[in-house]
Amino acid sequence: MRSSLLILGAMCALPLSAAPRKKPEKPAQALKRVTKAFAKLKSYRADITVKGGMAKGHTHMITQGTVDDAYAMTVLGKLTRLQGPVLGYRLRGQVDGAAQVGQQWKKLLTPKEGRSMSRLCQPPEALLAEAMRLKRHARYEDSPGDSGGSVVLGSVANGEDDGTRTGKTGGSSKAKGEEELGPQPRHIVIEASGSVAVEHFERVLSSGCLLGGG
Amino acid sequence: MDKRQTQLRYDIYLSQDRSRVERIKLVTAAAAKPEGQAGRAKPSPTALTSDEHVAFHYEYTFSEENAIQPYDVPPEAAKLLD
Repeated sequence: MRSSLLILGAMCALPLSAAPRKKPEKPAQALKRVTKAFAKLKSYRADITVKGGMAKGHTHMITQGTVDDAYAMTVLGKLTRLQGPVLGYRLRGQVDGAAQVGQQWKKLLTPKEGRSMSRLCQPPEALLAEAMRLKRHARYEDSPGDSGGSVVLGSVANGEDDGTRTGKTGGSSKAKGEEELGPQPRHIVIEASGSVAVEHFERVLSSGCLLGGG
Repeated sequence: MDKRQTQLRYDIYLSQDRSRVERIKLVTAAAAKPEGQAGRAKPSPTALTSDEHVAFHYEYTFSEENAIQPYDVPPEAAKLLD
């Protein structure tokens, strides 16, 4: 009697212990999710730095710089304001616009500073769209500082997003997510070569900032 | 610049709760063409590492999501936006 009860107990326990664990979100899925959330933003600020020139080493450290610029991009609805060597405006997703040169307003691509700024400050939406096209190459890489941080998968990964950064997370989901999956990676890496990289260089060349062109 | 040998790397950092993109780093690299050998030289295996090459580093840091205050565009600038 006792042994049959033990067998019955073991049979009941087996399906529970063999229940499938919740799968962690794949990097391509995470990329798709945050790209969608980004597209829903009504406004945001992007601080952009661009450094370029001759480089050496596998980290491509710049040894002889031709570009070392910083820009602030403020996007509000369809409008983008660019602040760098000159002040400029352009419509979201467009390359040309308006640049202030002295007291005058000119087409953004007319003055050298405006042309460089517009070509080098690619809309983040375009970068994310390109990353999405390359998503099959996406992988996670350990992100410095992750060890001390708490990371949520549950509600954020699967829930609706109203497009605002509140910093609030559901307590129960967080606990559940961490218990089931542990901290999730926050650093996605995509590497590619060939035509995609060439497209970026074409853009840099058209900016006129490489090799002192104008 | 030798377009036969190029590299591109995106580093996309998510926010603490993984709901947003916090930072995008983009590095593009292309081999430098050896002088006087325009396109004819055989690609070097070290063209994008120990050899001198061309690279660009872009970094985008995002903030103030959905919190930008409305701003005015000068009328002269607005005319050029069409």
